[in-house]
Amino acid sequence: MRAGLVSSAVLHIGIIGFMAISFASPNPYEIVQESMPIDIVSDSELSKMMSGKKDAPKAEAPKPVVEKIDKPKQAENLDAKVSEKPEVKAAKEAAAPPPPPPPEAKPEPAPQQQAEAKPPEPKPAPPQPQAKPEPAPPKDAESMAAKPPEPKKDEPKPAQAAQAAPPPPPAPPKKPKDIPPKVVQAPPKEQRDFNPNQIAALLNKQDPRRQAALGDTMNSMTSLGATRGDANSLSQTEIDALRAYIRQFWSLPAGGVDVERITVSIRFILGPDRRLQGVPQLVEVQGAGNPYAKVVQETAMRAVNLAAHQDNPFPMLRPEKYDTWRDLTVDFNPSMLNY
Amino acid sequence: MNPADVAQTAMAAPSADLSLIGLFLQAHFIVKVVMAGLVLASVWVWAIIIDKTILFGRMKRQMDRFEQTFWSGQSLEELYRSLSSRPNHAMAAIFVAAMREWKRSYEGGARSFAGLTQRLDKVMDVTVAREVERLEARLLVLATVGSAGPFIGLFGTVWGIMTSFQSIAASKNTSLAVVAPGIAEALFATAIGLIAAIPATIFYNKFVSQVNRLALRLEGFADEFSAILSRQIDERG
Repeated sequence: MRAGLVSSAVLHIGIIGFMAISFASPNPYEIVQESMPIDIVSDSELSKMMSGKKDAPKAEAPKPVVEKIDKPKQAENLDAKVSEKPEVKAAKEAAAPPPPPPPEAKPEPAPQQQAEAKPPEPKPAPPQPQAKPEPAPPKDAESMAAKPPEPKKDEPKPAQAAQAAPPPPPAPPKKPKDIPPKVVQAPPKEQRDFNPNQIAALLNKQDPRRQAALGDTMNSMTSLGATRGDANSLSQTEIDALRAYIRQFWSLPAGGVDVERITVSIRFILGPDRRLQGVPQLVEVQGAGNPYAKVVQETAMRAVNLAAHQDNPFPMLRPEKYDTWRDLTVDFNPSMLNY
Repeated sequence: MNPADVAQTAMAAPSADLSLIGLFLQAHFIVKVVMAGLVLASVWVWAIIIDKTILFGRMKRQMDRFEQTFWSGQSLEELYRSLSSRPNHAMAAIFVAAMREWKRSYEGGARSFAGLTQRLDKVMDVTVAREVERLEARLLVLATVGSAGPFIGLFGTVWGIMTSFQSIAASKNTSLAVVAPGIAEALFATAIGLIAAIPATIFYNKFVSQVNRLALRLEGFADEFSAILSRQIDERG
């Protein structure tokens, strides 16, 4: 045992001595400094998150907002829930009329006709009209809904349209609000007309659902994001580039007094092709009392128009971030051009 | 440890030398104790390893030689006479114990040999057990160091990191240069624990299997020898 102990002790002392000599002091790292391109990320870009669902797959493309609004699909039955799934055909759909209605409302599955037939109906069974939107707006209301006054307005909901549309049958005693709207549509739900051409629809026991008549986004895929996140935004680099780009086209005549106090905010909307949509709007003018403000405002407006009518306007805006630069507000200040 | 001391160590830290000896010297007292204990454990473990390796190797050689002479047809009486004074290995010890019992029964002029076989078996079993125990001695130390070494080292590390965080808190400076020496020193304790534990575990496993093999061989020899003796008894009785 002694031999083992001695040799072990010698071994350890040897190793420790060796380490003390050979690992005397670790080499310091060589710190190499490389130059690196840096993109300054704005605070808001970091703190904001894309909206979406937490468990949804990460989508490369953001949900683009619907730009043009087609003629809205007519919703036949406003009481049914909205669903994004393919349309469910159910035989019930056919029968929408209120209980008291005249016999001609009852018949076959031409909901449009029927809807049209209803509003003018002058003698109302007491619970019926006015109080709530009609199941389907009449034709003129439809056409109004189809062409919203502003390009900005994404979603004229058919319900709104229906409310806006006043089918003013003169007579009916105004019974309104206190009557629960259900009374009208509830009873016919149970009815199913047997139509041998619609076997599939008859077999389907689901309640009819109406399709979302208008979407607010074109991409129905949910994308990854926080439930309460709102947006991403342009990075500082892009903002700078945008600013520099617009500045090229802004020529301000010299000669104002106190021009630094004047700030003109102009808002404009770009299409996916980076071209101007509609007319730039003046949002606000600070220092409007200054006589020079008018000049600043006009030249700024001209600068935006000029910038947007180049061959390749706004080259710094990338299509995948269309969401963020669709609606831009640029502050024009004679001392500097602000985003 | 009062805050002033902590602050001082922290201030001293950045300029300290980072060699292994330096790390040891500037460690906290408890960490030093842990490190020293682990180094001692390592020394002891290696002492046992060297000792056992020599012992087992020698024993195996001696057994080979003994078995050769045993089966060479040499008279057992002679063999007994040459070994009885000092049975220097396990197999010889079994042989001597059995022969002694045999001789005692014969020379005592026992009337019946009925119980002799049983007695021989018992004597040889006891000797085998004693020899195996001798082989296994101190192997438990290896097992203990192997399993507890990392924990002890980890304790030293945790303690070292704790004190280095206290230093950070006291000096109110979180730059890496202040933090790093304390952590490096603390991790050194775990390193020593592992250095002690790894060979201990490996050699423990190796030695246990060797002891098993040797024990099997001893038992085999005991059984064979017992068979020979019982045949002798039957022939004579």
